[in-house]
Amino acid sequence: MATAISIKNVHKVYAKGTHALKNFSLDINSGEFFALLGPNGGGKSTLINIIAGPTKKTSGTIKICGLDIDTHREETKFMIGVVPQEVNFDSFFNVNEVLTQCSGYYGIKNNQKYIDEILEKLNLQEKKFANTRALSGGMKRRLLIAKALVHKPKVLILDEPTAGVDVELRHNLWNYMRQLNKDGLTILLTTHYLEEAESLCKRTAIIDNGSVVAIDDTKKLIKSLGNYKEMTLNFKDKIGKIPAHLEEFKARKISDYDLSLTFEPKELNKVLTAIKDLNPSDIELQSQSLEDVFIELTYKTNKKSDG
Amino acid sequence: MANPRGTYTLFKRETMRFLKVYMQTIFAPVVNNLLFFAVFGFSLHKAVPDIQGITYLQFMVPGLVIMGLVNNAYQNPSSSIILMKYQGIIGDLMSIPLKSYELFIAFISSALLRSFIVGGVTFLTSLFFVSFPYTSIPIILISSFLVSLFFSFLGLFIGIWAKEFDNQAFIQTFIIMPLTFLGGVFYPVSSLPPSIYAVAKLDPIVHMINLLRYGFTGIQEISLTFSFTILTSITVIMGIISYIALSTGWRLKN
Repeated sequence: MATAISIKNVHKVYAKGTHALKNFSLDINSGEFFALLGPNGGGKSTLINIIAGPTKKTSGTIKICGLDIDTHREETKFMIGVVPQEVNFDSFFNVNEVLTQCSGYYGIKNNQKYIDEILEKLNLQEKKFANTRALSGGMKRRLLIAKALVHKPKVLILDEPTAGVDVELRHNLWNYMRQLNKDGLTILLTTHYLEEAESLCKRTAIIDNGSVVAIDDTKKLIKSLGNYKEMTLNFKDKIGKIPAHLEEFKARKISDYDLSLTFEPKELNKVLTAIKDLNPSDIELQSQSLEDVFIELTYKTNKKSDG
Repeated sequence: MANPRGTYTLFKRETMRFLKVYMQTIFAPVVNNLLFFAVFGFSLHKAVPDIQGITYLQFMVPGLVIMGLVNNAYQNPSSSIILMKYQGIIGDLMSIPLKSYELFIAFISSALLRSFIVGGVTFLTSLFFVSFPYTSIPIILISSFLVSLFFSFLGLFIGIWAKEFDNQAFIQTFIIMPLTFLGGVFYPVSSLPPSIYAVAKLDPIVHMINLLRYGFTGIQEISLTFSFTILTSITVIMGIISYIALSTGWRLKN
């Protein structure tokens, strides 16, 4: 499979000495929907800005669809669409003017039909002639996505695209991104919403302190800490002593009325039998989430670096 | 891989930016110049004797045209780039597929256009009050072009260098404006005491006004060749400095 983004041994040391990326390497395949997770200051935005142009790397190699960004800077810019993390806007122009300008920068004339199509997909058609200052936070974010798409890039890089976007709209955007990916667009997504990565991305890398601390199939990554289920039992009356026969399921009180059990999926029948006579008023069953993996891995790295 | 449409789009963006606020960018400098006509021209010109055979109004207009060219060529790229930094869209500028020379061409050509519009309107307005012998139209055109080019380069460099509007205003208020006013817009520099006159010749704006005033009226205070040499040299030097600043991403890229 062809590689859309190839990052090899990239270092970035800022003028003030911050080592933002440390020997960073990553390959993202063409057509992939890839998640890059990491805490604030982990190096995600530095990496994206190096790929996009505003930041210069200190050393290492980055290739976009086989072309080195050092020797083919403009060609690679044509292939990328970037949605930056910071909401920014050009206050002199309206939405349509901004998108027409973006098309022009990429050498495209008469792009109105495609601009209208994107505006419709992103629910911005009613704001086509509104000044960018008049847009709400969520609309500005969608405008950033539209700007990144007007030149039909091969690779779309989304730096926390749904931050500050309401739930309904976030799901609409997810559907739109899924469709774009289905149509062949390679997508690199950084997000704080781990649910977003779980739901959209086949592979995930976790980055912390400028290095990749884990990279795998998203589902495998979730299972990597041991595949277990957590059951929460709610009772109408206060819980007294925890029944002894539940100890094998690591039973613990969450509150006076809630009891938590942790077990492997194959033990589910055994657990159901064990709780049969307890008569809980409500039961909730949860799988291990990407959030657990994220906290575990970034916590481990921070402990190591602290030590 | 050249990107002429991208270059044109950035030029158009820069131009639309100043045309959208035409009150501030076009009308305000023209009104300023009309005020100069009113205050200095009409009230003082009868009290001031002819200078080397031309009236005070004829003497003053080339200086006012220079002021229009200077301020607008300087302000267009500097304001635009500083505003991009404020709005957080400077990253967009670094991400679009334009080579350094294409960015350079777009910014400079838009600055030249604004400079010519304001300089041109100032000149056309003056024709209601005064006429000229037009000694050399080529010198008028070439010197206007070089003046605008120099200050476009300077404006581009200051926009890249500046972290805030204060930096831009500092250069304009404490360097450009004094050099303009002391550069002989309203008086002949040759009338200064010899020692001050020698220092005044170091002011590049003296040479700019000298050339343009010659083109319009035929009078010159300094050798035209000397003024051309100074103006061409500083324009080339400023062009190189601003291009290097832009192409290396100094203060634009992290």
